[in-house]
Amino acid sequence: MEVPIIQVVDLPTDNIQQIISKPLPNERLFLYIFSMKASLYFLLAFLLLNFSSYSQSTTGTRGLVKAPTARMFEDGTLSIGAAFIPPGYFKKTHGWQKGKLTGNAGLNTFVTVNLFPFMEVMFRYSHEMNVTPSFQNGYFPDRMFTARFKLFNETEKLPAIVLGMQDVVAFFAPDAAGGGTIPNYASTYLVASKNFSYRGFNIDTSLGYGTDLADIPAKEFKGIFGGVEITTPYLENTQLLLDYDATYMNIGVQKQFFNRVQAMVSYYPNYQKIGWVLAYRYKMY
Amino acid sequence: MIMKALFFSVFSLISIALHAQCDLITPLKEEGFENLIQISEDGGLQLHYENRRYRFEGVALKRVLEIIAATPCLSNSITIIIYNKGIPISELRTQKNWIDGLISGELSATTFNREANFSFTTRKRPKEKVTNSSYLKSDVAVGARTDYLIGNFDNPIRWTPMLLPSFQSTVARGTQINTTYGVVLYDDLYFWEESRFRYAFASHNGRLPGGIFTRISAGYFEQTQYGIEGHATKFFFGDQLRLDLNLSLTENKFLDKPPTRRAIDKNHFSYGLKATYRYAPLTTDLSIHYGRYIFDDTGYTVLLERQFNEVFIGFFMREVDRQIVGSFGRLYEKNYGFQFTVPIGTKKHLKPWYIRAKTEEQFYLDYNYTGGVDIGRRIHAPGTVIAELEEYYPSTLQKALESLFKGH
Repeated sequence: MEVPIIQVVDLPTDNIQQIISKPLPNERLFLYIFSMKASLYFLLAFLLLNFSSYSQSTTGTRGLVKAPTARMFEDGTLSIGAAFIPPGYFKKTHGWQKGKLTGNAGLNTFVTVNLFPFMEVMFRYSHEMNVTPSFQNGYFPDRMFTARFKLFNETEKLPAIVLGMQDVVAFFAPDAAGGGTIPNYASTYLVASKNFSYRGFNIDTSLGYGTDLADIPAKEFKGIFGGVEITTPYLENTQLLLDYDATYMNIGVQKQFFNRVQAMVSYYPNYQKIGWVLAYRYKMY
Repeated sequence: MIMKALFFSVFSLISIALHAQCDLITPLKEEGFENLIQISEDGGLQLHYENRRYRFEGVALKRVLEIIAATPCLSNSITIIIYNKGIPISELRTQKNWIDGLISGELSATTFNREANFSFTTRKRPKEKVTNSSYLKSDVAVGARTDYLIGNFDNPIRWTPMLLPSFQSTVARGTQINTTYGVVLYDDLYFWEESRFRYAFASHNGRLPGGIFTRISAGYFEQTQYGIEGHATKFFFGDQLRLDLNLSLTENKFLDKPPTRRAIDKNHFSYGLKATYRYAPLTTDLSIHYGRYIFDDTGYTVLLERQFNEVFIGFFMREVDRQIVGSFGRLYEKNYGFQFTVPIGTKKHLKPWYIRAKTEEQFYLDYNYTGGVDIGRRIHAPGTVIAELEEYYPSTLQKALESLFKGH
C-alpha cells in the first residue's frame, strides 16, 4: 500500500524549489491532491491499528518526527532502522549547493544503542538517493556519530533533561579522517521533556535549544525546537507526533508491531510530502 | 541369619536409593555437559562441569541449576565449578534451597546473586575420574566475516565477505588445536585476497598458582602472522581489575601462499600490557593497552566496552608512532571507531561427540573511522580460554541469571 503513494508523491524533478515556485500543471495538481487524500487515508488506517509505540525520530535518535526529546529507551536497547526523507527535505552534503535542500529524497540508515542507562549513541549513514558517489561530483554518503546524555531523570515537578551532541566527531577528534571530518548535521542541544495526563490523554511535551559547539556551527536544531507526543485513551499505544525542528513544522503518527518493529509515517506540511521511519528494536538484556 | 540378610538387603536398597537421588552426573551427561565430577566435601556437594552444549555460559548455568533443583539432593551446601578446556575457571557457592527458590520463582535472581558467592575458582581439578571427558572431541563449524571499507568515491562500500570453516579440538587438558580456512566469496576490497588459511595453531591453556591464566600458542594466526605467542592474565578484586601481558615472536607471511606481501622481517618481537577495570553493575570495561604491535607500530589503545551477555559493544581510540601497512596508500597513526560482537548461530549445539558439526558462535566487526585499520593490531587466538574468559566472569554469570530469570 505504501509504495504507490510514495511513487505518486515522489515526482521526478531535479530541483524541488522550481516545482514549489511554479504553478502546478493540472496533471501534477491532480497527483498532489490524490496523494494528499491517499496520505490521509493511509494515516487514518495507520491510526486504527492498535499497538504500543515509542518515538524514534527520522534522525535515528529518540525523538518526535525530527526534533529530539529527552526520552531514552531502556538500557541495552538496540535499534536498527531507516528513515526515508522525502524530496525537498533532504540536505545536500556536497558540491556548491552543500547545505541546501535537494530535490532528491534521502535515506538515513542508523544503528542506535542505549549503551548505558544514561547514554544513547547512534551511528548513521545518510545517503542522497539518485546520486552516485564519485570523484567528479564529490559526493559520498555522510557518516556520523551522535551521543546523547541524560543529565536528569524526570521527577514529579521537574522534566528530564538530555544533552545531545550530534555529528560531533570533529569536535572530539579534529584530526580524524586526516582532519577532513565534515560535520554536515552537527548540533549540540539541551532538551527537556515532561509528561502530563489529562482525561486519559497522555501528553509528552519537549522543549529544547540548540547552538554551535565551539567552532563547529550547528547545522540542525539551531535555536528553539520542541513538540508534543500525544497518546489518546481511544487509540491505546498509538502516538500522534507534532514538532517544530527549529526550521519546519512536522506531523507524524507511529506504531509498534510485535513489540519489536516500529513504523512511523511523517508528514511535512511545507512540502506536502510524506516520509517514513522503520526500525527494528531489540533488547540485549 | 534370615533377619540379618533381610536387614542388609533393606539397608543396601536404601543406600542405593539415596545415592540415586543425589546423582547429578546422569542428567547432566544426558544433557551433554562434559568433564563431570560430583564429590562430597565437608558435608557439601561439589559439582564440576564443562559446557560445550550451550552457546552462552549463562544459559548453561541456568540449565545446570534447573537440573540441580529437579534432583532431591541431601546436601544443602552446593559448590559448582565451571570448566573450559578442562581447566577450572569459575565457581558458584550456594544452597540447594536457594536454587530451588530461584527455579520455582520464589526467589529473584537478584536475591539469589546476593546470597550466593560467585568468584574465579582457586580449586584444582579433583583426582576423581571425570565422566564424559571433553578431550579428543572435535568441532567443525562454519562462521562468516567480512572485511569492508566505507568511504571510497568509486564505490561507497567495498567489501570482502568470506566463509570460515573451522576445526577445533581439545586434545588434552588445556591443549587445543584450531584451524580456520577462509573461503573468499567476493573481493572488491583488496583485489589480491584469495581463499587461504586464516588460522592454524596449537595452544596450551593453563592456570598457574595464584589464579594466573596462561596461554602459549604456536602456528599461524590472522593478520598473516606466523610464529609463537604467549599470554598471561591475572584478576584482582574478583573481576574488577584485570591485567594482561602478551608477547609474540612472529613473521609476516602467508601460510600456503608465496610471501609476496611481507610487511616486516622475521622474528618480529611484539609485546603488550593491558589493564582493564570492570564496573560490574553495568558490566562495562575500560581498558588501556600499551605495547609494540605486530606491524612494528608502538602505541596505545583505549577501549570502553559494554557487555550485554553475549553482545559486546565498544568504542576505541588507537594511537601509534607509525603505520607501515596503509589503507589505499594513506597512512594513519591515529584511529577512532567502534566494534561489536554479536552471537550468531544456534543457542544450543548438538551433543559433543568425536566429530560434531556446529554453528559458529560469534560475529565480530569493527568500524575504523579514519580507515587506519592496521594499527594497534595484536595476535588473536580465538577459542582459547583467555579469549573466552568474559563469559566466565562472576559479574557476567550474575547478570546472565538476572536477565534469564527476569520476571520470576
